[in-house]
Amino acid sequence: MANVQFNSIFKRYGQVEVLSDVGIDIKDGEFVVLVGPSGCGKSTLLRMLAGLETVTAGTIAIGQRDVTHLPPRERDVAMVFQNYALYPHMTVADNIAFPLRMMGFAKSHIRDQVTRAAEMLGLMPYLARFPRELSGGQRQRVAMGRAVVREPDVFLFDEPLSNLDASLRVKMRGEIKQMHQRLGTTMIYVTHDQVEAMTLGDRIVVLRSGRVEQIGTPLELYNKPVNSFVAQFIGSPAMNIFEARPAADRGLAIEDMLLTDLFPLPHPLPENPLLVGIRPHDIELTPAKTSDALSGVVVLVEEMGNMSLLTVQSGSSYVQVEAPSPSSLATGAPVFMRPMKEKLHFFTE
Amino acid sequence: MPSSRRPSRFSRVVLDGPLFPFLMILPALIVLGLVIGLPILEALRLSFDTIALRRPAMAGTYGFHNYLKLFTDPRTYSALWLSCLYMAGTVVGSIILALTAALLTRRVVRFSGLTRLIFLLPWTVPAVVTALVWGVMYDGNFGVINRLIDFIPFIGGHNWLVERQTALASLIVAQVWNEFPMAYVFFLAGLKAIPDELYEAAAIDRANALQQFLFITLPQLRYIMAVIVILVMIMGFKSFPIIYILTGGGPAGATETLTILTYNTAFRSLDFSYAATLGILAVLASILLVLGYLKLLPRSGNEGTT
Repeated sequence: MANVQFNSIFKRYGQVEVLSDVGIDIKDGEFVVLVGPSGCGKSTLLRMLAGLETVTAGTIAIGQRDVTHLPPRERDVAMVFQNYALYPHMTVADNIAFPLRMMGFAKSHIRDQVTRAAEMLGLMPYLARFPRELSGGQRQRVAMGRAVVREPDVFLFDEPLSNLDASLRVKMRGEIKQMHQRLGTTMIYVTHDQVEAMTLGDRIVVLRSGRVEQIGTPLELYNKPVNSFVAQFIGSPAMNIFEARPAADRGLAIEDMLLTDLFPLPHPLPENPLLVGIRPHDIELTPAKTSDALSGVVVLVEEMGNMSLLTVQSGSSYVQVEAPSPSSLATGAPVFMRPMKEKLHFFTE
Repeated sequence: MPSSRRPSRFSRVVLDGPLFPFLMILPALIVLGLVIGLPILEALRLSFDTIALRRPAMAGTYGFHNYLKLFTDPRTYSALWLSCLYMAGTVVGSIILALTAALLTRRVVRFSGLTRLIFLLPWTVPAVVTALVWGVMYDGNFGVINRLIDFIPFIGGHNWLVERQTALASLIVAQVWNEFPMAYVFFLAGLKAIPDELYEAAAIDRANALQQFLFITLPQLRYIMAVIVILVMIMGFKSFPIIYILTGGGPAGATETLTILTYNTAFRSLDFSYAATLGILAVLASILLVLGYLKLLPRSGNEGTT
């Protein structure tokens, strides 16, 4: 059990800066998800914490102990890899027992611990099998068992579910969450999937191009994104973003439309460029043109079952709108969209 | 199957028949039969004959006398034992040298071609040249090895190839130097096939460098290791030029392996029929080795990566 601190971490490969001034403070027992598009540096950050990558500048501390230059074996972290990284020549039992053997525990203690972990993960029938004889989900469980068994200070997960099919991913996601609730150990989880991030994390760190964009609870990120990148990255379907400029008559000019009667708007309005965001389910469709509605034409109707997702072309931009299912509108139908005033987001970048 | 033409009798019997695969490998079998099968059969016939140029009148006397001699002559057992020692020595030496070289060069990025070339060079040297060069180095009076040993206190020089205690070991060293690059290439390929992730996982699981070698590297190399052992054994068993040129089986039979004994019997004692009998023994021993190799091959294909 330990807290984890990244203090202004930099990572460079030659001239390429992969991470730039990353500072994250993770509390003891917290489940923190590092999320971002591929190439944002999230995996590198995790591997630096594990000791598999060197740190160019900055420090990493686990439980107040500076581990920046310690080898992996002295950091007391356990890691679950994307490709599981099971030892192919060892049985499931030997895989799970491996870290305990390396730590020099007695045979009987190791056997008890392996049995406990195997029972928790439902692996008892497979202990004598080899990894190649297991399905993807079972291999994932073995990798988790190998991590759990040694009771580390910190658990690290590097996109552990990305090789599983969709339904299994949801199931394993739940199991990881339950595991965290049961063990209460600090967990750091890397993913590019914002749904995984939202559902798993106590807090989420959004990274882009090696920089931290925002750190917060899932709902903070969802309700108060600090910029348009976070706004579009968190939440599905993604938030609509428009370029806008303040206009007379208490209004905003978006595209070629002039929205009026929008005030009270937050003051002061950000300077140019002004970006306005609205989530697809915060838009109402109205039958007639009003002063605070954008007009457009439906170009795509996607039925989701619980709702239908309309893509509407308005001027040069495309707007996604959630509407009740089944949709009464067909492709080509003209519509008017009225954003809910209190749900508008304003960004400068 | 809808077909406009009924299949001809030829295609029914020959193309679709169970013998078709054998038909396809028949040309190769014929060639092999001519160049390998016939000589072996001729050697088998010869081994029952009596073609000894020192007793030419005995030619045409068939019998089991050569095989009787094979089983009763202590030189046979001595030669088999020396062949085994020679094989064991080359296997141990080659594997230690090759694995060390492969471990040293596996992570080399810059000049990787050059480092590999250095370890591969001995392989490109013909065995005859290897033997001649090592012969000069081993020389008791002028050899560089004794000259180097002079620098080490309390250890005296030897007449390496002439003294009974050192002759076989000296030959093994030359053989290992010449043949270990083959094992090196195998090991290097085997090491490169081990995923880095396994070492990363092991490092996080608190394994130190030695434990990573023992629990990851060695088990991952076990199939390649088995194949190398058998191949190096076969090469050691067949080895002729290095032993023949450096000692010719001497001193006093101390390095007379089965191949050398066979040669000496034929071309020094001029007893061709008994040499053929020894050759049959060598073939049987080789078959055992090859069977071991074949038994290993299909399993090595099963090695899973995850």
